[in-house]
Amino acid sequence: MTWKIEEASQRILRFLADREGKTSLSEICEELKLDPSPAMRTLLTLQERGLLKTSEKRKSFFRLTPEGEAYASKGLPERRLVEAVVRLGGTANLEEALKEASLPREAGNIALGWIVRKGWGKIRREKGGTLVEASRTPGEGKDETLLKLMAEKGEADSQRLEAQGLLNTALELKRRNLVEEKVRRFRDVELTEAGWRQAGEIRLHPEIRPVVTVLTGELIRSGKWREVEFQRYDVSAAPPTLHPGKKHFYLEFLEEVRDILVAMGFEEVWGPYVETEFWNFDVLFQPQDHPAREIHDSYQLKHPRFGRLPSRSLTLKVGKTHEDGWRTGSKGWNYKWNPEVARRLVMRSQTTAVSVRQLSARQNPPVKVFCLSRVFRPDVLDAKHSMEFHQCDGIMGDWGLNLKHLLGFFEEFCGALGFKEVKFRPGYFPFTEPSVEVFVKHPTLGWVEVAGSGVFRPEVTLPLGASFPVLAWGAGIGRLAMVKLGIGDIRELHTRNLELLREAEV
Amino acid sequence: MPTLTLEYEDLCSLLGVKVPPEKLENLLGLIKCQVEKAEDGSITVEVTADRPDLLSVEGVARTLRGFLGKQKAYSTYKIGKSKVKVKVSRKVKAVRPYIACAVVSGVKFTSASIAQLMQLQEKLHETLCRRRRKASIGVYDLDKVKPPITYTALKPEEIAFTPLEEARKMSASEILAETPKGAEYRHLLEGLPRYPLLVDSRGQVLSMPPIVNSEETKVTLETRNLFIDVTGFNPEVLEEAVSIIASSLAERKARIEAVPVEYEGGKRLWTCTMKPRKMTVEASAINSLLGFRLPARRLAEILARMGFQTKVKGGKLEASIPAYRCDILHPVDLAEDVAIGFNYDRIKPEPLRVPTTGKLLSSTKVRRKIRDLMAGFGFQEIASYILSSREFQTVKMRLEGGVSLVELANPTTSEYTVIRCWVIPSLLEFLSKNVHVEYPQRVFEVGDVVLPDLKAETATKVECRLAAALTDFKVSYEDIQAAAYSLLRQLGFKNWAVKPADHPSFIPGRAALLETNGVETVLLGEIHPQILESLQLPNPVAAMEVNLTRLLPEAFQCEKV
Repeated sequence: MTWKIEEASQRILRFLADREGKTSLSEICEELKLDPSPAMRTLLTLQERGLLKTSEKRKSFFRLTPEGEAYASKGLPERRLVEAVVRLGGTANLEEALKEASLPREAGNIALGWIVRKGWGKIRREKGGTLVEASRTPGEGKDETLLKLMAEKGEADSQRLEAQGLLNTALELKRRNLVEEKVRRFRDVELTEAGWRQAGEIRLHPEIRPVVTVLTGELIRSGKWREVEFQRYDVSAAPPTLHPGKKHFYLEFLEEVRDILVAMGFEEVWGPYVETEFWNFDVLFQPQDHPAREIHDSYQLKHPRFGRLPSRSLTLKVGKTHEDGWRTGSKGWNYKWNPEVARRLVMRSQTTAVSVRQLSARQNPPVKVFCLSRVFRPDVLDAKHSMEFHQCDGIMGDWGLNLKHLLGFFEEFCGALGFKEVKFRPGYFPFTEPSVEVFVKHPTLGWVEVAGSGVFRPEVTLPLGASFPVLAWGAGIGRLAMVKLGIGDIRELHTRNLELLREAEV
Repeated sequence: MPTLTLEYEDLCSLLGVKVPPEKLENLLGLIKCQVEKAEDGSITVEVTADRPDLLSVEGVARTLRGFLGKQKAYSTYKIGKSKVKVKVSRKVKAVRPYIACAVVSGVKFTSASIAQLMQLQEKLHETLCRRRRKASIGVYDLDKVKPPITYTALKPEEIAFTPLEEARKMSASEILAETPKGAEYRHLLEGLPRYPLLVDSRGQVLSMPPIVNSEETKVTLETRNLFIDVTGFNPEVLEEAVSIIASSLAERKARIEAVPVEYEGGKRLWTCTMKPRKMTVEASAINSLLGFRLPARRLAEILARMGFQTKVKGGKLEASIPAYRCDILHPVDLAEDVAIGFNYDRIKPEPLRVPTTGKLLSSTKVRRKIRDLMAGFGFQEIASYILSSREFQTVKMRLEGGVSLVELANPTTSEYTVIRCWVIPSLLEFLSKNVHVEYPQRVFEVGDVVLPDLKAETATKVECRLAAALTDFKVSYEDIQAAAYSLLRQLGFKNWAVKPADHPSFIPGRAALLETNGVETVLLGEIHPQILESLQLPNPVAAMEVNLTRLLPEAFQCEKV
């Protein structure tokens, strides 16, 4: 894969190609007019991509000392002295010669030493002074050449001097303290094979395009997007997490159940959370001393305490049914029914209360309604119990319906919820006979009880004016949700854990 | 539902056949005994509440034998007539007026069978006898008693005897105060002028119903003859209870004798005669209820196996209901026994073909729409309980503590004592549990509240609310206002009046009420820092509550009693 790379990198690669693939950081900075530190960063990026290699080297440099600089412009003292002697006729007293050469007295011995060493003249010591003899102006020495060169360039690197045969000269000048030697680090840069290929590509597309990070509206509107390269991203880097606005997983399950029932032809109905005992128990033929009506099994109300009973005729029929069966063919529960008890308010303990309210309002079959809502029982909240949970109740009333249709309904309903195997066992509810408990086969949990059902007793239907058979069922829909969603703790259905809700599948 | 423990070997010997354990488990489920657990040769079953006759291994065996076809017809017990007489004093009328008794002779106890008798007595007390309130049962070694027996009532200070499992004679008040059963059931006697008492001709106390028997008349493994009494308020229930116990003992070859009971100044009657009741039912009624097409003769056979002697008379069945079957109130109860006898596993489901058009409540549709919108605005839906506490609904929210709320009479914990009257507290509570979770946090709930409304049939009214709250390191009134206004627009509202609200739960000057169609429907604002502080919410919260019932009255018309 060929990386699109930014402008500075392109220029460096081209420059390297021009230099046969080798150069140094300092050269790059100088030639391409780049600042050293961004240039270095670009080099390292290119190295990471395998386009070039860099290596660090140490190099020594020579440059003039202030004294050397002075001599470079005015000449070495030995030359100036010899030239003065020549001007004075070939032999001169040292004093005179120094004067002629404008050299200070202290420079005399140094100059004399070098004149002898270089063989430019002779020194004779006589009474009354030192005589210097020099017949001609000497040719330029290597040291002088080097001094001039360095004065021009400011410095000279030892490698190049060696190549020019000037290294010993430089060292000699160093000994005379006219030049100093400095060590510097250098970064050599070399193109790799991949780098050559890349450089070739760049040669093929010589126009250098600016690279941008953000595609701005300005770029789009002006059409300048055509002239830029877009910064390539590391598309595999992990992004931040999004938390969508989401519906609640359990409530969504309840909606799914509603949709299944509507598809099966059921009409949804509603009933209140606070209910009179009349609708919650008495209509359902639960005697007034039934254990479910005790404070251990239903929430009674402190405020308000009593509701109103429905029509006098319905109240009388229900009461009479409890006492002696009224005209239902039942022997009843054989006790004195108390309308004051029926007026008491409770928290609805079964959604069947809603079913019978509806049945009393719908005298003409067919009746197919369901209610999915909350019920309440005096339990302490823990993993298995809750004081408040959802039930789904329904009734199916029509002439000709029988127990087999109830079983048929469950096969269809459980099938729609994803349970293929269903089994039925006899059960007991005060308001149905025969009664059926419904179990479904779960792949890991085995048989799980999911619903109670049955045919409403005549003691329930006849006082309400329904003389046709009514099949009734109620499913602990929270339990069903737990089984379906793999939840072991009932509190999780109403979780207060935001992270869990954010992560939950819907 | 009551549970019952029975021994596998004991059950098999009563059945007269060894049924493999797995098969037995399935069979029990088919006769209203759901197996809870089975280990170490002992089986725990849950018995449905209508069948107290199944609360002993003997009763289970009797039913199972019929179900398996091991017995051709109904069980019959020969009922003798006991010479033991029981006299009932007029004094019991005001305290515990009725008694039914039986004598069971020729008993041979084993540790298993005596345990079953104790268990049956205890389970009957819990269920049929309504925790001894409706009836209570005593069983005695008849050979330790000298008849005739008198059922009377004495002043508490006149009573003294050695109660069961105690070493000394105790007064009535000591018994109520100091013995375990006294503590458990004393509320049934306290305040009465006289306590019921059963004594023999020597003055030996048999028991003080419904509390405890005497030690002297205790039943042991060696007991051969039993006297049983059931005292209480409903003669029918007393007969049922005494029949269930007597018939269970008779399953182990003991003989039942009816006992004459003579009420002072009243009638004399035989109790525990176990005379069956008759019930007539049309065969066609059973068939149409169950979806069967069985001839009357076949139905009668099934009923016989289920314990009902049944005669066929034309298209009618005349069934004899054994005295221990107290669940048969109506012919439909016999129909259920036909279904059970036929075997639930063999009943073929039929598709339900009732042509109706399904539909959702209009309120459900609106709830869905609003939930979709709120999720679309980026809010996470939560689901809270509608039960709450007064403290949380009011005081914590800086409201008057005394406002009228729907309140439970028997709450189970202090956290859940009222039904909520608004939803914002639920959201704040939720946020307070998530202070360390990534911000921003936006949550909403479409949920119900219940308010007292004394004019209504249930003296309460339900309202559906939408509440939403958002919290972040910085939030403002405008953030929640944007949600409220956008929601109203999406629901088709074009304009609404805005009134600054003076509500203690919000920062003064940063709360408003919106009026749609002239009704206050939306409350919104920035939550007061004192609330945030008390809930340890570290960041500001803005919230709104929309009264959907008022905002969209037509859609919620269906949610009215």
